[in-house]
This record gives sequence, structure tokens and C-alpha cells, in this order.
Amino acid sequence: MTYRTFIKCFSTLVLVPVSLTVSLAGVAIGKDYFLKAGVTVIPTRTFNNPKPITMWGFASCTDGTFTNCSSARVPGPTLTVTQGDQLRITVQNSLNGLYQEPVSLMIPGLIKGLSQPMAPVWMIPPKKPQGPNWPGAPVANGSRPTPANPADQNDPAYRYRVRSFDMETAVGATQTYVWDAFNATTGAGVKEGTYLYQSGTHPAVQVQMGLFGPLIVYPPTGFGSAYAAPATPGNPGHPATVYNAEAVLLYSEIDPALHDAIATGHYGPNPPLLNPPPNWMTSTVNYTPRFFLINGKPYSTNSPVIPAGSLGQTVLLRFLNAGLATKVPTLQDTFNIIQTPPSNLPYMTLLAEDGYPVSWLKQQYSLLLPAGKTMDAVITTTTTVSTGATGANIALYDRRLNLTNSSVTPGGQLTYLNVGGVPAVNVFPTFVNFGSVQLFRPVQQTVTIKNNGLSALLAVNAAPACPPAAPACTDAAEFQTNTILSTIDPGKSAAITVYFMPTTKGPKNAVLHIASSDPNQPTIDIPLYAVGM
Amino acid sequence: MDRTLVKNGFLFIVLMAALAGPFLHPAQAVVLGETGTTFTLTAKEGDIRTGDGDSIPMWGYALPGKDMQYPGPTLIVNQGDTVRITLKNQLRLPVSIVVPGMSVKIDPAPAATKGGVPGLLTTEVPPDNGNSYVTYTFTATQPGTYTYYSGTQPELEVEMGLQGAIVVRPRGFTLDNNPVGSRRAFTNISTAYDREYLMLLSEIDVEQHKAAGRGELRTIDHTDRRPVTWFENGRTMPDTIADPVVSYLPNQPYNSMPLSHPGEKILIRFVGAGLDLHPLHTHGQNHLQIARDGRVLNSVMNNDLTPDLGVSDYTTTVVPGETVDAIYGVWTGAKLGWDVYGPKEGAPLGGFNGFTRTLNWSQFLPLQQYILPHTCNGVTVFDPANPNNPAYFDPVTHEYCPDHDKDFPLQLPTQTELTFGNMWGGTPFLGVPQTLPPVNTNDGLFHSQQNPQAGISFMWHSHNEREITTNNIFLGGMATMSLILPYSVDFTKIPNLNDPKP
Repeated sequence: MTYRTFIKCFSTLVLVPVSLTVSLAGVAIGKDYFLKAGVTVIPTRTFNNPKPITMWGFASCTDGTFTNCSSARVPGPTLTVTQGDQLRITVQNSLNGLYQEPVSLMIPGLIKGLSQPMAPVWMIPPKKPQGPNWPGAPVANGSRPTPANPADQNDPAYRYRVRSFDMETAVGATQTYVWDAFNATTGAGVKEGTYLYQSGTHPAVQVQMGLFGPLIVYPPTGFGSAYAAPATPGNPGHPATVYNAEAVLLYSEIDPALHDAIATGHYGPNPPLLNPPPNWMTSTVNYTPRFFLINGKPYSTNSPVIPAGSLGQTVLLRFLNAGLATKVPTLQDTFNIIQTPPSNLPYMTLLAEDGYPVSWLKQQYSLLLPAGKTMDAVITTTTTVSTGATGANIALYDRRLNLTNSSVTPGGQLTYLNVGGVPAVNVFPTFVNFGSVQLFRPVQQTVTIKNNGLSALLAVNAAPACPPAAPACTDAAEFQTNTILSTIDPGKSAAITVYFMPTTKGPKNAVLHIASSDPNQPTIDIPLYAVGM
Repeated sequence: MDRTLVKNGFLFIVLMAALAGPFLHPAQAVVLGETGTTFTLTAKEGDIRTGDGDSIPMWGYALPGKDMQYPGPTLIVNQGDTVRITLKNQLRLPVSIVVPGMSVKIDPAPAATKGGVPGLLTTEVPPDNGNSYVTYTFTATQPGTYTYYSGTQPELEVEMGLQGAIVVRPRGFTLDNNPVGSRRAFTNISTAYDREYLMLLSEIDVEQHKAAGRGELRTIDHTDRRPVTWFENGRTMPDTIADPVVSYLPNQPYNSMPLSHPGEKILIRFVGAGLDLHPLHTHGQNHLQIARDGRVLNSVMNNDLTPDLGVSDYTTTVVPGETVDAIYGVWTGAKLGWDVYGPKEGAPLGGFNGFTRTLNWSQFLPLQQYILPHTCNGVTVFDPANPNNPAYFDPVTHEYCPDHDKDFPLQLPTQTELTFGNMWGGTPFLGVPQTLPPVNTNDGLFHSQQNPQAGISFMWHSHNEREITTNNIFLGGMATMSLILPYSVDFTKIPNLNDPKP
């Protein structure tokens, strides 16, 4: 197996460093993620919240040891995978505090496939009064338990209820969830599109608490086309979904009452009979959200803008609603830069719902985004407007007008798509020396690419190449990278692992050729040096 | 056509009759509004009346020299116009206008804009008692229905009433429908219609308005919002079926009472002006959704082509900030199973006081204006390609000829079983008087208490039934009556109808 195998493990660094199938012994082609469910607290007054808000979120970890992890965050990290790959997400349940639950991971819209079919967990419902609070008593995994006596309506099996849509990961435990590579015949597996991943266990509580995140499945053709699927009748298909830049817009809400009850251990169907705590919640039926978030943040005057490409580009907007309320994302194009053909007015072209390309394209200036739904739309901007280095901002706000943080305005689900702000690439280190390496012994080093600019660094590509002074070199073939990059947001970094494995003795000279949309440094060559022994 | 709907409608109407008695006159058949290309609006405080007798503090856009109105003035412009809206502000906080779907620019000329302040969504007019002003301009590139509203703290200002509709007429449009077919929603002939009505839907949380009226804006928490009153064109039922521009609703000039003849197409311009979604249901007939957000539902996204992706439905989900154009009808009474233009000569009439009578048309001469020949005279000329097809319509009255002269299949109830009002005379017939109620006028004939236009009514209302209330009072809120009138009724002679089309 050559290093090129790793190239197939296509990964796009959108928001977070991703974990790769970095095993030289070779594994099934696929993508591994390691997510740790944990508690994170939004400090008081972060967005006018009078009390800290305890969230449950996913942290991204580099590998199955779960030792090198980001902090838990809401929404969870943006996961990316390419159609054709298997997706494996290993979850560690590190929930702690006074109230804990087993968790799981599900992706509405994707069929897991034969490697690991879904295995729901059944339980005997907690009894009132004074039965156990959640989680009750699990009785079976997988198929619904068969009643011992089907004719007996009082057979306890008839009372079993699903409490988890897939197998649970208990507190402290670790479990891998597997989605097969896409099978066009059965439709099962990891299919191109935009999806929410979320906990499938007690979702009425756990999704509200924050156990969700975005999943992007690129078509086999990779970044640049939302859907490569052949056109269905009336569907322009692939050409219509071509884009230059993309932005993820994940909507959610927070009802602090639930978070307060969870944090204090005051959740469940059976509050104490004596002196029940005033913040006890028996269910989430009285949902009253106070905070309205896009990508985990409400609007504030110092909110970062969302990079949305350069002027003249087509930007794919991936809308996801992980909240419980219907949203109506609406464009307000103050700079008049959206010119989506054929109308050349500030309209979005709707491409897909829930990962399925629409049969007929439509243009609207807003769209209806109910709970749990994903929608893909593109906008195209004009080049005829001069916006300066800061670019132009397109406001995107919820027309349900949830634009406050509780009573404080402005806030809520307002954000800006930044178009045309200049990106600025920065690379460290600027020289990579592998030293002396034994023949056929692979070694690796890391190069970090950072975007110090105002808009997303697009079309980032880094690959070993021959030095400009020796364009016909053979040494470059002994260097490889494992990552194909596409987009790096402002202020974000992406790590590239460069591998070297000598096949012949002697000094080796190559460069890491980095191309990007930075107008001032469209290409950068980082010298690579090693000696084969 | 579902007979159950008629039956339910019948009951509704009877129920409504007592409520609606004073509000006799039907409305315009053309969207009321301001035509032109240059508009001046001022944001002002004011109040509106709701059907429960309440007076609600509001903020709204006002025409020059006038009070605020709810909703703001409907701006009617023509495709290709450069539209200019100059906004002044007499509120106590900044205000602005956004027009989704339009490339709106600020005219920076000193005569057009003075004192504008950049806001989160657009340039705002500061609260300085009308001294500052901002002119918003855009080109109405595409026809259709649009909306405008405040882009400044909109969760408060849109709630308070700063919202309105924009109608863009297509090229070639004529109001008098000359040549025939030039009254249309978009440029394509398939979007032609006979009547048009605005259906601007909104809702309010009365407590927030009362707090704003007391100047206690700081007490308003948007996340506590709980709407209790729902509106069509800024009015609650039964004011929706009152005349437009009536003295007792000074700040709510628009009514919402679609009128039509059988066989006519009604263009409904749905506008989601509030913060919530509303499923607006049209009894009587489906409507074909032809456009959303001013874009024809066309498979190649060409606004000049037919709405080949149009969807026929009896309920349209009206989304906040979005618009839907839909064509209702045509309603003809087909397949109801009786002759909606009246029973045949000699038909037995309902009894009262022990008497049994038969119909003698000659008795009704005093009401000749309401009597149709309804002879299905199209039988020999209509559909010559298929002369044996019995399912034809009279080309003039749109009568469904297979039901011609069919008697009403049930015995009509007696007067003691019904409540009567001016809107409804208890008849299931178009354009003819019937035996219910009996004698009530000097001529002693069987006709009085017929509603003056002798039509059949269908309720158009939110299918979220709690929304057809006005602050907990049923029947109210987001409901109205669509009145289908016989061809004998000349719309040009109805007061305030404002529709030159015969």
C-alpha cells in the first residue's frame, strides 16, 4: 500500500483538525472521528445569561485514546467525509455532574448499512409515582423484545419503549458507530449532502442540551460541487450545485430552564415528594427558548463574520436546524452584491433538502427551515462592486425575528456572510528537515497553515512537488501528504502531515507546494529536505 | 367541490349573520393601495380597534398628513419602475425599511436622505420628530407580491405594526382588462385573473402592545411573546368583511373580503407580515400557488413562463417575510347536485305556517335585477367538439348545466330553526330569493332578508383554528368570508368595490 491510500482518505479542514486513518499498515478506506461527549459551561453574561448555562457538547479528539481533545463545544465539530468512504465515529461518554445519561450518535437521513445496523435500546418506562428517574431499566438492545405470551395483553414486553435509537454509550464507556460506504443499489451508507449528527438517546433532553453538530458529505468529486448525483427529471443536477466557497449555518436555541435542572440534578418524572426543588423539570414540554444561536453563538457587535468567498463567486450555504423551533433565514443584502442568475437580485437558489437534491430548482430570498431539517442553497455575488479589504457583509437573519438574547437587543439569530474580505496565508515552519532516515522507514512532520486574513482561505491545496530549480526531480515522489485541504476560515489553522519514506540513499530535495486563494501569496513553496540511509 | 364544505359554510354563515349584521357592504375587488413610483411614509404611533372592542397601541407607516395605518400602505408599482420610498420618523426609537428580494439602495442626495444612520440591516432614520429622512430606492425588476417592514429592532417594530405589502404589476398589465387577459399577476398569460385580493397575515401579543403604549419598552421580553389576536390585512373578523376605509376603523383602511362571480379566477396575494406561520385555508375551492417570493414556480426559473411547478392546494402555509401568489377557483357550483341558480318553475317551496307553495317566478319581478335566466343557454354552442359531453358550463353564467333545474335535494329548514342577518338569507341558491325567511317586506313576497347581492359565502381562515379568535373571543381573528355573487350583480354598482371590470 502506498501513501496514495491516504490521499483517498479525503479530508477537508473546515473548522477543526480532523483525525485520519493514519496507519501505515493500511485499513479499510474510511474516515474516523473521535468525539467525546462532555460538559461545558457558558459563563454568566456571555450572552446576557444571568446564570451559567451547563451544556452537553462534543469535543473532537485526535485518536481513540481520547487523550488529545478539544474542549466540548456546541455545536460539535464539523465532520466531513467523502461519498465512497466508510464513516466511523467513536464516542466516549464523559458526561459528569449531578445528572448523567448514556448517549449515542445518529445521523438522520443516513442508513448505517450492514456493517453495523442500528440497535435500538428498549426499556420499561419509569413508573409514577416514585419510580426511578431516567434512565429506567434497559431490557434489550436491537429488535423489540418478543412477548413471552403474545396473546397476553399484559405481557410486559408490550410496555417496552425505545429510549435510544441506536446502541448506547454508557457514562465512562467508549463505542464506535459505523456508517458504510455508500451503496448505490441499496441507498445505504454515507451519501453526499448536509446532515445533522446528534445523540439518538433521550433526544428530547440531549439534543436540547447540545449533543449535535454538522456533517458534510462531499460527493466523490470532492469540494466544489454539492451534489454529483445524476440529474433526476427536471433536475439540472451536478452543474447547478457547483460552488467556489461554502459556509455552514447551524441554528439552535437554548432554554436555560432545562440546563439549570440538569446541572442541579433536578430532572426526571419523579421529583421528590417532600420539598421538590423549584427548578425541577419533569419534561421539556414547556420549552421556552431564551437564546437563539447560529453556529453556537448569538449575534453580538463583536461577533466574527462568516466567510463566504470572494466577489464573483458562488457560495454554498449549508443550513441546519438543530433547534426545536422553525426558522426562516432571510437575506438582507445591504451592499447589493448578490446577483444570483437569472434574476440578478438577492435571491438564493435552493438546491437540496435533507441531503436530497430538489427535482426543480427554486429561487427565494428566504427559506423555511423547520426543526431537524437541512437545506442547501447557493448565492452568487457580483464583481462589479468595490468593497475594499474588509469585503462586503450580507446580513442573514431569522424572519421569525428571534433577534434578542432574552430581553436584550440586538442578539439572536443574526449573522453576516462576508464576501470579498482578503484572506492571508501564513505557514509554519517555513523549512522542513527530516534528517537522516533509514530506507523504507516512514517518518512524518507537521506543517501548519493559518489564515490571518478576513475571509476564508479557499481552494487550499498542499502537495509535494519538485523545487522550481529542479523541475524534473524524482525526489518529490518520496514525500507525501495525507490531507487535501479546501477551506480555512479566518483565524483558523490547518495541520498538514508530511510523510517521508526514502526508497534510495542520498539527499532528497523537494518542496511542499501550497496553493490558496490568498491574492498576495497564491503559492508558497516550503523546502523539504531529508537524507535516505 | 365538497358538499360538506357548503354545509359547514352554511352554518358558519348563519352564525356569522348575527355578528355581521351591520357590516353589510362588500369590499374592493382590486387591491387597495397607493399607486405611483415615489412614496413618502412616516413611522408614527397610533392605535387600532380589534373585534373584541379593544383599542391596541400600534406603530405603523403613515401616508403624508395621515395617521399610521395597519398594515402600512400597500405600494402598487409597475414592473421596471424605479421606486423611491422616503421614510420619516416620529417614533421614539430609530426605524427603517427593508424590502426582501429587492436590491435596495440609499439615495445619498441631500434632498433624499438627511441624517440617516447605519443600522444592522439597513440605513435607519433616527427618532427626531420627522426632521431626518432616508430615501430607499429599488428597481421593480420582476412583477409579483413583495413585503416591506422595519429592519430596525424588527422583533419589536414589526410586532408593533411596521409592515406592509408591495404589488408589482407586470408589463402589459391593464386594470380594466383590456384587452382581455391583460389583468395578470406576471407577464405570462397563464397568470391572468379576474379579481385580486391581498391576504396579509399577522398576529400580535396584546400585552407587549399595551406595555409599549405605556412607554414601558424595557419590560418587553421578545422571548415571552405570546400572540393572542390574529389579523387579515390588519383587521380581525368581523371587521375583515366590513367596508374598506370606514370611520370606525380609522387606522385599518383595508378589509379582506374576496368577491367574485362564478367562473372567475381570484388572485390571492398572500403576505406573511408577522412573526409566525399561518396555514390559510380557502373553503369552496382549491387555489393554485403560482409564485413564491415574487418568483413564478417555473421549472426553468423563468418569471415570464407558465407556473408549471404550481401546486393546487386548499391551504397555503404563509411564512413570515415570504409571499405567495395563488389563483383561487374557478368556483362554479359544479356537482353540488342542485341548480344553484334557483329551482325550476313550479318547484315546491319550503312550507311555513302550514302552507305549501310552489315557485312562481313571476312573483319575483320586483327583484328582477337578482334573477338570472340561468337557462344553460350554452348547450347548443358550448364545446362543439364534444356535443355529447353533458358536463358543460354556460358560457355566460358558468352554470353547471347537468344540474340545471335540479331541485334542492333536501327540505329547507324553517325560519324558527335559523338565525338571520344581512349577510345571509338562508338560501343555498345564487341570485334568487327563496322561501327562507318568508314575508318580511311590503310586497309580501318570498324574498326578503336575502343578502343584498344574493351570493354564496365561503370562509377563508387560518386552519390553525385558535387563530380565528380575537384575544380569546371566537369567532374573530384571522378569518373572512369570500362571497360568490351571481353574474346578475354588477360589480361596478357596488359601493367601494373599486373594480371597473364587469
